[in-house]
Amino acid sequence: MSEPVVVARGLTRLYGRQAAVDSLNFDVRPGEIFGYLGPNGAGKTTTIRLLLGLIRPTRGVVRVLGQTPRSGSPLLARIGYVPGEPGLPGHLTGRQILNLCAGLGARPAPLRGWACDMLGLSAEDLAKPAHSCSRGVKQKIVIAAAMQHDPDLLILDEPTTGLDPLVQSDFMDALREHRARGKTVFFSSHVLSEVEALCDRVTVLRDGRIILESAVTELAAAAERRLWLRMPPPVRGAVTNPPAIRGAEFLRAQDDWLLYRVPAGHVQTIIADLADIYPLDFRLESAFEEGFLSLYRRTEGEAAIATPPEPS
Amino acid sequence: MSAPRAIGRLFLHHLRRGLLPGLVVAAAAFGFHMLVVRIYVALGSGAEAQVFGRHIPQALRQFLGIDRLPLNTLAGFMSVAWQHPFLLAALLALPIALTASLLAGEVERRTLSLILSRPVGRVAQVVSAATAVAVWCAVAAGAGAAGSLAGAGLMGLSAQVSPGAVAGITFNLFTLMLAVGGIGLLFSAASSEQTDAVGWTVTIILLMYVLNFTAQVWPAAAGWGDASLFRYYAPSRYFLGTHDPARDLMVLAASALVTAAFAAAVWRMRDFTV
Repeated sequence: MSEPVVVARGLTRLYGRQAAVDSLNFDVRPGEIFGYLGPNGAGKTTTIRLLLGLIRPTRGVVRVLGQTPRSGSPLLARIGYVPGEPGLPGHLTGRQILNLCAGLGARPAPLRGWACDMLGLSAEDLAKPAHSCSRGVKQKIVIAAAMQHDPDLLILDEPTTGLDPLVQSDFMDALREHRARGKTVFFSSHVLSEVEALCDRVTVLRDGRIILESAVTELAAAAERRLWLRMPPPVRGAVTNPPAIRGAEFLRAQDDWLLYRVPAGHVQTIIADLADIYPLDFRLESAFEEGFLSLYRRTEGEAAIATPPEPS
Repeated sequence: MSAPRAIGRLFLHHLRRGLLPGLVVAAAAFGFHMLVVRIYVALGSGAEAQVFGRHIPQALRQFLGIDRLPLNTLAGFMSVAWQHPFLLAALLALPIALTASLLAGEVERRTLSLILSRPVGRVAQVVSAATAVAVWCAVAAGAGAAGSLAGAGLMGLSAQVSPGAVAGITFNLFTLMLAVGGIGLLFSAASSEQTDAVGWTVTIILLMYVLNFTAQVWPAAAGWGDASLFRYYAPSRYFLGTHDPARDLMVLAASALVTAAFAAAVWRMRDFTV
């Protein structure tokens, strides 16, 4: 198995006595989209600053693409970074900013055209000074600047902020394409649906400590489902006497839809039972988000989930 | 180690940031020095100024260098102009503002992450900023010299002005601007907001100006002047030709280098939450 792109062991950063991140241990594998999830203040951005060498760890080690990140290191030419709250030099146009970033990276920008097309950055957008661009256009410029040099590792700190849903979808497709080329993405977010839709694995952070590491597919498989059934009229009769579905629990009716809770592992059973019920329509939704939040709340006040032992 | 191409790109970026203030201050310095010659002529070749100058206290005349270089000579008139507080304030504002913008300003505008996430070392960043500031200081100081010579030429007074003396004053002023820029760079490297960097630098520079003035006009405090950068900037001495400027230039240049080195060390050690 190839060496991880990012390795963190016992990674700790204190500000005074307060730990922004505490004893983090995680690996990011080559060619994956790694979700880094947590609410504001959980330590996501501090971790990213450590990965880029913008700040130094108080304890522990971090290695990125086999090297210890430091300011000015040639390693940074292989990384693309989208900061959480980026600022742009207002007097420069979008094109000048892309040129500046490419020049500072001392690498060609073979993917600039592709990145701009994917994000919908027009020639007019790129010709305007950044101070006159909308927040969304500024965010697109920052993303294009991070991707244009085809980096081996993309580090994204809540990158979809300010993007409209259509562009978000195209951006996620672009990240999948990036992964398909064997590149790696470190995707920090507090939006569960993004992580579920995009990431291969997820690490969840709370108060600077890792509380969960899992493959997204495992998390999704372990999550409950919500089953919506649309019954033929009269619906009122169905509400007072909802059809029984093995393993599923009836929750409520909404308009002419009935809502059931389906525990994980019962999907095949309910599909079999639906054939006998003859609904007009049905929808089966993953309750990933609710399940995750429930897990998150359960850990609140508890000790963080044990992390792997620190290396010697 | 940063790639030379990346450093070059960053230098151009820093140079561009200083374009507008650099050109404005240079144009102001050029216009001011041209105007000074015109005023000299308007005052009857400085005769009226000389009458006025006699009423200036001896200590202040000594401070301005007109005790030995009378105001009714173009050299004397120019030497006062070269150390006029308005001119010094305008010229020294340039390195102070630029250094604040190029380091602390990048932190404040949250644009630093664009640079620091690229393979450009922090020391290279400080060197690039310092070089860009030096270029604009040279342009502004040079524009003042050009204004003096152009003004004298237009008024037919070229023979009264020694180009060598003007060049010497210009280089002395340039090194003073560099030394002030070094202090600005140090405070900028230690700050996350431009106003902090500018505030601290202006405070130090004003204290130095007052210190030098006090040392010049109050014999009991004469020794204090050596601690001020302004002690090493004396335009009248270049016109008198009785002074070896090497010590002044070396002190100012050394001050600029030492403060810039400290700035690089501070910038390199900082944690950036950008």
